[in-house]
Amino acid sequence: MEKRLLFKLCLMIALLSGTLLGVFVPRVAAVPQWSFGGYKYYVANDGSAARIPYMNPSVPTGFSTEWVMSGLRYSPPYIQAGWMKESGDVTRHFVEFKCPTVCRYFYGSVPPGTTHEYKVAIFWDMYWCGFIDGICKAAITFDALGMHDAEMTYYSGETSDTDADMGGTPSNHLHMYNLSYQDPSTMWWIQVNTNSLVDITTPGTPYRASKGYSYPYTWAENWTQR
Amino acid sequence: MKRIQRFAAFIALFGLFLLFAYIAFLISGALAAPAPSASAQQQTSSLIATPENLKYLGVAFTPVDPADKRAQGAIAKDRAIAIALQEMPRLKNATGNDATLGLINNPNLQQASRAGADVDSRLAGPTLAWAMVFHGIESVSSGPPGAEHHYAYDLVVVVDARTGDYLVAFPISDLVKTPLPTSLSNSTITPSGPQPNVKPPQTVGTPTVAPTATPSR
Repeated sequence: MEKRLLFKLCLMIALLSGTLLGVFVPRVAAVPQWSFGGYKYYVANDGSAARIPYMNPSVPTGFSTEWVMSGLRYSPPYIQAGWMKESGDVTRHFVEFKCPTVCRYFYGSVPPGTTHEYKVAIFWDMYWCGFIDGICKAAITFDALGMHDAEMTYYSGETSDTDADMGGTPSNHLHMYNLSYQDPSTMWWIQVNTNSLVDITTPGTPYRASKGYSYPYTWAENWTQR
Repeated sequence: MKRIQRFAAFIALFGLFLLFAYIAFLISGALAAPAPSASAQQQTSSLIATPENLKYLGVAFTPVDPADKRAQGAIAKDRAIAIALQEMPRLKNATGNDATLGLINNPNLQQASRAGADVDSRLAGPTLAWAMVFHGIESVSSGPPGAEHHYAYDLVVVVDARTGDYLVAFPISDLVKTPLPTSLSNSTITPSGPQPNVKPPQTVGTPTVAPTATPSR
């Protein structure tokens, strides 16, 4: 009789403690955190461009994106173009700029394994255009954007939380190449000086980036090291 | 024999402990799952693809009655919605949608095209298109390090009404909260001529910097 009571008591303790443990155990969840893996360059410019592959990173939550961007040093005006993979959706080319909050446009889908030329540049001394494979997809006037010459150029990947992978894998990095910018005299410098690129990779994350030059390209690359 | 019984009882109890811990973990997680924010719910009933909403994005939109002669050859609204759902799987989570047939065009792209830029002619328009607003679809902006991130909860999907091709999608919710700046509402655009090329200064250090001589504005 005592054994039965003892067993029932143990059973109840197991149920109660199990339930309490289940309720209060810390939940490991995706934490919103905008992380970067790439480079910026302090240079007066009227455009930025790069060829960026799409390697289909794992994105269980949030988004993962790779882009080129021109913008001001301290204030919001910027324009960027690249691809973006949002969780549960098809990866698409995109262009985004300040307008006065944020205007973002998603264009055609990006098949895995493909590489595309992304460019943001001034056109006709009046517009900033977001180009995908040489075609202007979105245009905004200097006045509307609040920027004429940009002060920064960027070549980077970005994620909205650290559960999402960025770029390539440890053994197969995403290799962004043909890094270039247009100076204010309209000349395209088809290879940036990678010595001038400043690392913007977010510390403490699984994201990594490196840069370099191997004939005939300058390049930046990023990947996720878990 | 008793030892084995005790061990079996211990294993059974421990198994139950783990089972209940797991069930409680799942239930508490489901209860704690974030519900659509109040602002998202608030906006779902009011936003549609009106010309006022779309001009924030530099897009001009003129609604066309499906019975109008200009709408000849347009695919049906249901077909357009089905195409949007096929193109963007996450739209299946939408809390509702509104679809409007109309002529869409982008004056900035048209102007850039006239100035000699290679633009997407279907985006420049005017293109007969279905503009569909899908409510409750969260979208967050990108931007440089340190940028403010904007959330939107309504996504406009534009489908070519003649070919059924996906053209573009864009979030709109947080745009309509901001007053339209004067520069957007009454901009007059006059292209200026291309500027002469100027040889750029030499950059110090490797790798080689090779400027091209392509004028682009």
